[in-house]
Amino acid sequence: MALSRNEVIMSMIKVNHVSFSYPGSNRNALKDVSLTIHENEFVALLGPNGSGKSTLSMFLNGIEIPDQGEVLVDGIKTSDEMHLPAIRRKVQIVFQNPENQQVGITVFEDIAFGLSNIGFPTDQMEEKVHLVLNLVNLNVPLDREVANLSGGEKQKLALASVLALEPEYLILDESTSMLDPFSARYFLTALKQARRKLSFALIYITHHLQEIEEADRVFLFNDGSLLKGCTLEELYQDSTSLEICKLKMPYFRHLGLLIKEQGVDVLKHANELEELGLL
Amino acid sequence: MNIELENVSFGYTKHTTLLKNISIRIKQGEMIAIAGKSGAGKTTLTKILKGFNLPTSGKLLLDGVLPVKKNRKRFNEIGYVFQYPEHQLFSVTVFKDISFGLEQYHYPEVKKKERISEAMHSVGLDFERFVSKSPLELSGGEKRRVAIAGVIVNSPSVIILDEPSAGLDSDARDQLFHLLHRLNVEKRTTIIWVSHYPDEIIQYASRLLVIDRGSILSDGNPLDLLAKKVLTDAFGWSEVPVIKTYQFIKEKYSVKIKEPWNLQMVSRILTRELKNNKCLGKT
Repeated sequence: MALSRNEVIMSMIKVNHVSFSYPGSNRNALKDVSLTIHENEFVALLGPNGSGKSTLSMFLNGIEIPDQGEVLVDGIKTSDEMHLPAIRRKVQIVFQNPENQQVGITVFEDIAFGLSNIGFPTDQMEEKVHLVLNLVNLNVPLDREVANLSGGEKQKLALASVLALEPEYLILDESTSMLDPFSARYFLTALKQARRKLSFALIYITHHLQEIEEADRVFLFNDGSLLKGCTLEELYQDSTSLEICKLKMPYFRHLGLLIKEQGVDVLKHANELEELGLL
Repeated sequence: MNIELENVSFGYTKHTTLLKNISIRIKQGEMIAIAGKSGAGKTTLTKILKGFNLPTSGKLLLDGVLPVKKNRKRFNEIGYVFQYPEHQLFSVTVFKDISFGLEQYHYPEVKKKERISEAMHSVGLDFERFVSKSPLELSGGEKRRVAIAGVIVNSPSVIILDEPSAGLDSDARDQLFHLLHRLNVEKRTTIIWVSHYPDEIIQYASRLLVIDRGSILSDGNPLDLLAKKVLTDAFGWSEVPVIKTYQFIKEKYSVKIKEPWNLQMVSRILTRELKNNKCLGKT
């Protein structure tokens, strides 16, 4: 395997010219996608339904292996079966519906399941479980049945279970879309807190730009292709891409732009606009 | 069809009450959003309306009649779209999935095809392109539309949807609500949907029911209700930009914006008020 020196040393996910179509379909779900995600980076994958963003996320930890092209995690190809378990441990996913990934009957079992799979010492298990529950701010007894948790609590538990495995890369695939606004906000706060305490790259799939205001970079997908990678600021100035990717500029940002266009001196009205939350 | 609930309560066991003394009248042709926190009883209420659950006490009347014995059939006039309906697509092709509900009527093939094509058209799915596809190869938004087509094809007089826009991008969401709005205006189909999104509620609902701990907390015009800070605080909605802006402009300048989701309109009014109230900014 010919890797440049640089690639061996750097921790990153590298997607090289990946194309893919689902069995039985002649439509390419991914078309020649190439991108790099660096360690500790916060990137967002954006695009309309069916644009390929969720499909791509399945390739990042080797759930799917590309027909064409390759995906490298810290320099190792996901097609390398021997190293696949290590790759899957490094790259964790929280799906849209937490129930799709909950395996334990109780909160404790659910978190312990993944840990025992990687040979985590049994005598330290309880301590670890407490630690990750604290991390995501989920205050429930360890013997609480998962089925009796609310949607928001289940999603936090899913997050805690994957954080227990100390991933280097964490993929969140529309993890708030099934939550009510209250629970979604708590979930995002818990995620932010966790990111401050642990270091991992965050790969966030969403339709809502207001959820990714702190993203370092965004990747825009349409119809299986990567349209562009850029910063959020660059995206906001690119109305064509916003349009193509069916993204709505956050309400306040848009309103701010419009009143400036209509000649409002924002600084002069700073007090009111700040009170409104626009500044 | 008019639906009436008189003092309806419901619980799965004797000790739990999920709905308490609910009395509402829903007239044919209304467009009603149901909001409230998780676990407040929103979905339970919709299941009562559809007849999946029967009230433990109180009465449900469809067009003034108790839907029991042979009148129970009247529940068939109510279409129900579950939360994440795409999880329930199970047929080999889109055609078969949509026609599932029609099978019981023994339509001739030609008529069946016609109705399916019409239903697909109304949800914006091209008949030729999609009809023989497997539902599994569709995107989330497309699957959602197939599931909704499967309900529309039966021409229900009432459609109930449980969080229909969760997980859809803004375009798919707009299309879905244009469709529901059109059905509501053209066919006077009653639309009742559970929603967590204040923006879609104020834009599309003619009436908002807020449910809290199994009871109706408020019932009325969405804008009037969302202008009440006490209420929006209780639901964590006061910080939702569209509501915050509406409340801000109403309080500060005593202007009620008709279409707070329409940013062009909001920005014009805000610009006008800021320029007229120059000194306020310096206080």
